[in-house]
Amino acid sequence: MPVKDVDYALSISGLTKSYGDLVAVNDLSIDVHRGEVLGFLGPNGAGKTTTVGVICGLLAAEAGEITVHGHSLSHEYAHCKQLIGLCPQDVVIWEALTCMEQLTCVGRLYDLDARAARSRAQELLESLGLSDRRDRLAGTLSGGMKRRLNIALALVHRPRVLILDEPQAGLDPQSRVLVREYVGALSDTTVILTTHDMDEADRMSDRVAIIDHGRLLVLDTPDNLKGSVGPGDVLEFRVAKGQDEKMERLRKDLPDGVTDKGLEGQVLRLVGGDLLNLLPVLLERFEHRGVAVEDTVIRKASLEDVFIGMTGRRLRQ
Amino acid sequence: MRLGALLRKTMIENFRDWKMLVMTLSFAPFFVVLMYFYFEGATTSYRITVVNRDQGAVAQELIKRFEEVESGEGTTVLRVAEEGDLAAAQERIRDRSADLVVEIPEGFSNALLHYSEGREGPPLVVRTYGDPANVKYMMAAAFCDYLTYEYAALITGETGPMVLEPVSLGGVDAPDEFDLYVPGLLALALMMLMFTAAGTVIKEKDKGTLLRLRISNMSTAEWLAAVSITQVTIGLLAVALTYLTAWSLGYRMSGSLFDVAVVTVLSSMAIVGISMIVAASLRTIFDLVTIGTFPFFILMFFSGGMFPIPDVQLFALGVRTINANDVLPTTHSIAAYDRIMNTGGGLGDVAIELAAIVLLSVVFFAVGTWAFTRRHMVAR
Repeated sequence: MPVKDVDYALSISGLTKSYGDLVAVNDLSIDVHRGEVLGFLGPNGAGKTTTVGVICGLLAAEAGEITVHGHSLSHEYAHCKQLIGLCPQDVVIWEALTCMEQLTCVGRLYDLDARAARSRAQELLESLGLSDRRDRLAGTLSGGMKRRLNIALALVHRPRVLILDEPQAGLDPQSRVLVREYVGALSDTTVILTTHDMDEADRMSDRVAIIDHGRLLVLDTPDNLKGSVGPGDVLEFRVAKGQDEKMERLRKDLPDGVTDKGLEGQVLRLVGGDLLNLLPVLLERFEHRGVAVEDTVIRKASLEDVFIGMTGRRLRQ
Repeated sequence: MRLGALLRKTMIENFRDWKMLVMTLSFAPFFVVLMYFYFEGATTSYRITVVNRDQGAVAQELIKRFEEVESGEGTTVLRVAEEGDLAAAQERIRDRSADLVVEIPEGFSNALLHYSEGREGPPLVVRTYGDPANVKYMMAAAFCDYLTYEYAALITGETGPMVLEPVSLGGVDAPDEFDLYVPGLLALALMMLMFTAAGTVIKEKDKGTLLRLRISNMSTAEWLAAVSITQVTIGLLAVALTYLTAWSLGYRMSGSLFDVAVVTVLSSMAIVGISMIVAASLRTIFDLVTIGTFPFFILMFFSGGMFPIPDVQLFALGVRTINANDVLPTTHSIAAYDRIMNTGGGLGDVAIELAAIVLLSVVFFAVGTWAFTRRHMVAR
């Protein structure tokens, strides 16, 4: 399949898609470099799956343009199909076919000849730890194995752009490592990874795009994004209910070097450079204001903090 | 290449889904066995109750002649019972234990003997009673009328100005009731394809695997071709099994197997077309086994295979009347099967039925494919 010599494996420009009055994707523009792993983060209903649906040609956009390795999705769809591989969020396999049968069938549907399809199927089964299940009906596999087969089906035709929609959901820890290592080793493949799992996105992505309400909020490397939250650590205090007034007074009396990132429910989130040393001082202030602390957590800043900082709420809300 | 892969996949899935397959393949053979035992595997017979008010020798001889009528296979055609009371005999008509009551009047024997001696008298009245709603009534009445007139002519020597001579066309023995049901049961075997055909398509939607097909290089036409070839194969198997079941119970076809196969292939395509319309309207297998049974029952009950239904004329096309159930391809399938299997007709004899099946196949397929593509295959 000819691939144009362009900088971007995938280029989305001004993409808009609505369902009735609901604007699912709103003027979204993202350029994805060749060979990079792009984490595509957002809460439920943010527009991730709709964007993926449009990229794969399953949904029609109202406005905007998508190119895959320089080929226009709207004008060269047949060409783009061959370049894209999709691993959907749900396990989408033919339960009455064996692993080998369905991988070979999908290979043939992407115009691989019979021998190449079988060879590629065998290769994928070995890579994803399913070779001893090659002749088992897919319906009889364990949940984790079905997930791995789901990923293998997206890779049969060696796509240049691989879209993994929540690939880690339902995977056991061992399978997670296997999939992570396999995806990491796809040197010539661009990977779009939509996920709720901040750690996984942080670990696997070269860059992360965060979207909410169909709009792109930010696009950068994980380190840069985490750096934008503030220097150092994140400190979370879970306090007892019914202390709103005391909390208001406390938040006006925080020591220097501490940034108030807001109160979310009963959790006060603070960011600072050396919060571990400031912890005794902070606890003294809580005591002084009569605020009862139920739990305290200190950790490094994460992508979740980036999201909370931008939207004021957690990713899973 | 893609068609081959899809065909293999569809075949494997259909043949591994053994519950649905067994249901499809065994449904019509089961009804063949049921019908056979219902009709006791015998040649059609008609139950005659005679109320003999005469008791003379001539009347007894007439009854004996009723009893002696035999089919080509040597089986009794008229099963005669006698009843002394007319009301009791008429009750038999109502409870369907008799198809016809023949009332022989008092003085029947003497009157005929008088006629034979050249003496005339008032005309004899031999009354028959029956229920027009009973499909056997008219045939039983025809048999008895004919036998009575023939016997009266024989006794009196008065042959009249004409002789009625029935000639059987088709060159085969008269089919019995069981034989008449076999074509309809073959069509029933094909109607069951609706579940496997629509099920094959709906399952892809229900399980989400349609997504994988859509994003591949496969075209809708290739997929539907694979589904159609698979269903035609199952249709041929279902019809073969149904015929073999009937054959093992004594049914013998007059026409050629090849002609039956041609009707089967064309009819299967029409059923797949209807299935596509069903599949376009439904989303889950549960929908299919609930809502999807509605079109199945329409085909089953209104194609005319299970029981005769009155003609509801829509319009006339030349000399041919187009009835409401002519829009069902299985109506023509049953007619074609019947012509080939029971009267020894060839493809030329069922050309109109075949043309109707092809036309309806094209229409249903076009509508079904358009609806399914629009609903499930196009990015919206």
